[in-house]
Amino acid sequence: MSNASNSLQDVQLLKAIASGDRTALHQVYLQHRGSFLGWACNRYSCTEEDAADLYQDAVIVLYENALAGKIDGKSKLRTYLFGVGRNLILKNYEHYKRFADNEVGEALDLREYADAVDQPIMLNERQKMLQTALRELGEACRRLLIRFYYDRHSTEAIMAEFGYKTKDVVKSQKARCMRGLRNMLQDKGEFLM
Amino acid sequence: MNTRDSILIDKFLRKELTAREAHDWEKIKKRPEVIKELAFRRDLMLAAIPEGRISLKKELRALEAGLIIPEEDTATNAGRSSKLRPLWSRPQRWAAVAGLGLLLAIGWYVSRPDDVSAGQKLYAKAWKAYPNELTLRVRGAKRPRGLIDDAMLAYDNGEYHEAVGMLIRIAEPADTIAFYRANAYLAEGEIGVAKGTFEIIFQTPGHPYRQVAEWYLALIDIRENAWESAKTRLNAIGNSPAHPFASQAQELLGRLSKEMEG
Repeated sequence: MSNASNSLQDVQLLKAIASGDRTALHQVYLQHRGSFLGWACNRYSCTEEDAADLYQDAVIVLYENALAGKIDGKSKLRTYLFGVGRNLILKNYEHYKRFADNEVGEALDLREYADAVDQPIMLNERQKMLQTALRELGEACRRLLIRFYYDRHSTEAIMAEFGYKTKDVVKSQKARCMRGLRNMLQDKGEFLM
Repeated sequence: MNTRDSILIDKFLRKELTAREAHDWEKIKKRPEVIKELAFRRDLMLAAIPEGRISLKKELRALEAGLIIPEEDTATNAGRSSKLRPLWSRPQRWAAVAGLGLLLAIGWYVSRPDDVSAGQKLYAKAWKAYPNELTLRVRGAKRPRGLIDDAMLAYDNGEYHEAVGMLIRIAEPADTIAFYRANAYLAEGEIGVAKGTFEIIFQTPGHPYRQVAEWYLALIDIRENAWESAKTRLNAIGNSPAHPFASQAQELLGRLSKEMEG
């Protein structure tokens, strides 16, 4: 991890993102998008479309690592995003790899961020069935369970987003969605719990 | 499985146990039903990752397309405005307005999980993606084949996720692109985004898809079990002989009335 000093703003944004503040995530996304696209297009000769796609993936990595408390706060968010972006290019875009052979300066520092990019999620059969069931569950339940298990939003945050009046309503809706998920799997006869 | 145990399992998985809860967790963690439930939820957490990423990516694309207007206040906003790079050019202002409408329509609004029955069934019977008239128009204008054609090909093939991915990158023609993008979002189940855009279209005098947007808004109302609003819209559509969905609206109104009586 780089020793570059981090600004107060970055620390606050990181905290906000980790606490589920979508506005902070949007702010980071918009703040660094232009410079990232310019950098990726110039440094690795990416097409703008690939660079935009890559940037979204880099922001998702930042988001997940912020939620998991894996970002130590010593790096600037910009450097972190560029580091993740570089390593995503090397992992996922074979045709741009050749541009990494003669990296100098900042690009060398960015190599430190290789660990930030996780291996792809490999789901086993049971988990794949769950993923399919989650997709078929209906938008509201799918969204609620994603907010809870992926975004790790608090009950209060879910309450606010979905317009529920009390925490108990959130809990009962979540329990209802979980039942729906189980029923769906059982109906398919593919998964008995 | 009681509620308390269920909460403890989630808190354990999310690493949120307090000292006292950790103590309670130790007492229950070896129970067979807890072990089984823990395994189920652990799998669910993993299964939710790809789905969560897809959702987040859609959200970032919507943000990029101006369908979500970034809010001013956050944990910090020092120097934020000056650092923001404008993402939408003039033709895309329309999309920005759509985003404002979207926020007014409660952003990423979704219907509640307990409202999944009658409305969704009626909606599923009535909904069809609006046919592609766009690339025909583009061809008529003798424009070279490009992203717009690929996007609409994906749309024609029912590959709405791909269609959205491309449509958000196209600025012109702003009015019609936004309409098809809203259709693709609706097909993808992104109701809030679709609704916000259709509302803006409906409120735009002279918009080529104003009347059609009204029909889709009625369908969304039905999906969300907003019966009265749906009825009002369908009545308005059904009573306008020149409306392209007049007959469908009358038919749907009949079915809706039966549901309401039932």
